[in-house]
Amino acid sequence: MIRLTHVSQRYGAQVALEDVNFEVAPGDFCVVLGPSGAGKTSLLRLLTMEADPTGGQVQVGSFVSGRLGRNQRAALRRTLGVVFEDFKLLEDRNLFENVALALRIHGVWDKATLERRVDEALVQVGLPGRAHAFPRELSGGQKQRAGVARAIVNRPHLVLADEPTGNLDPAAGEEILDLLFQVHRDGTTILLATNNQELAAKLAARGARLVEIKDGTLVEGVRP
Amino acid sequence: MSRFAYFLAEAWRSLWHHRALTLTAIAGLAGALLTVGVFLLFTANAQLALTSLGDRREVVVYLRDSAPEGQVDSLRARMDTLYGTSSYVSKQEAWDEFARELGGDELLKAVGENPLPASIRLRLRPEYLHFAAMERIADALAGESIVEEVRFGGEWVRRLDLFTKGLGRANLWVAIAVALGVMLVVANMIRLTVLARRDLIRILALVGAGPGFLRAPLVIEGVLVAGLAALVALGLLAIVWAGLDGRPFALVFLPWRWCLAFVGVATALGFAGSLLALVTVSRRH
Repeated sequence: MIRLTHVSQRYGAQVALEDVNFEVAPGDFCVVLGPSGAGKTSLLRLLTMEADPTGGQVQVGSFVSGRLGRNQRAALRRTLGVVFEDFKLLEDRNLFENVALALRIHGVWDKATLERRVDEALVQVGLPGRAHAFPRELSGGQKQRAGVARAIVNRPHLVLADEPTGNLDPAAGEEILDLLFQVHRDGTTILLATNNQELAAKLAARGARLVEIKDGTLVEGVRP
Repeated sequence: MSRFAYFLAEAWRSLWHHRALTLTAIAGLAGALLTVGVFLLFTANAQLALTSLGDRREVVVYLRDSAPEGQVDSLRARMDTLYGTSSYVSKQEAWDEFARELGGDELLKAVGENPLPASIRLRLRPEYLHFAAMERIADALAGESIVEEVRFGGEWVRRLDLFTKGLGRANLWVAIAVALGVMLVVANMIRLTVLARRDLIRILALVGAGPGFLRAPLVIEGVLVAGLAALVALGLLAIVWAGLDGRPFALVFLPWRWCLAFVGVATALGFAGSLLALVTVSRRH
């Protein structure tokens, strides 16, 4: 699913990742724990191929970093679901439009199909009947649920979650984690990045694989 | 909603969202396009006047009194085949016409014998309605043995040609300058739109939107703005036309085909301007 081979990422003299070798198998729930600035964002940017590694090779599914064109990078991202810390919902559109956006990008234009798939996704994340609500009308937890709905509406094999509970209160954070475990149980591989040790411990306790990112390197199985 | 309708709605949403920028761009473009419109208005009217004047551009071949009827007929047949349509004016017809122009034949009676020659008036085909061709034809006809003299108002025709060419050149330069202006205004508007919507574009790119999905609404925005500006410019031109009409002479408005072409070319320039802006944008995603 994901394979990093001797991957390095440098920004001038600053080293974000150094000779990282890392694999995530299909069906994993992998938590990448590390403090701010440890390289989590760099890792996720490499996985979405927003950036190319300065050394080594990144493979996500059948996509290999290197000489991917814009269309191929877009095609890779269409195979992923991405959940953001700040939700990244379009504030001037309702939930239907926000979630349908991912389907349209996937080439789904039929109105009936769009409505059915969006409704299914909103039901799955616990927001039934809220298709016409705008993000400003929702709580943080509900916004993140909508973000998860957008990430999973295309039924991706892999979901990348970047600090998905970072902007939420503990109760709402728990709900989002439950939701991600539910998505995982349905067969989706999850890679979650967080700087919250307590959260990482909870996830590890529920069976997630824990990897710590420290000084640009990844260390497997560290207990927080 | 079809793909195109969705992109159109997205473009409209963006134009409405940035309506101050949109209105500024439309106003600027409409002003520039109005300049072209005014030139086109003058061109359309000048062409109409030239067509009317062109109808009067003829070659008059004066014949010797001794010209045998058979040779005159032969010459007319050749003129009809080679240059256009000829009509014969006999000595008597020329006399009658001259008398009509003078308002009576009292003065002419004093002249006695009719001194006017018979002539052939040649209305040229459109491709010969310019100075060089008319001069060539006049020279050829002057060499005929039965021809006394050939006249075609050479200096007048030459000036008419110069005026037509000058107007065409002015139109071309104004059109090129305005076309570049339209493209640059649209390109800058799209760049500003992209800047204002960079967060949205990043989200779309992260969710998997390819270059086509990102570009389409922006290209449609450029086309819509240029098209709307062209319609506004035509409206303003109609006001200008109504103000000028009859002062000092009657003007016709642009033919509808010209209006369609005007809007069509403006939208094409909007399309080109959008693409110009997006060359840089899509590189970043």
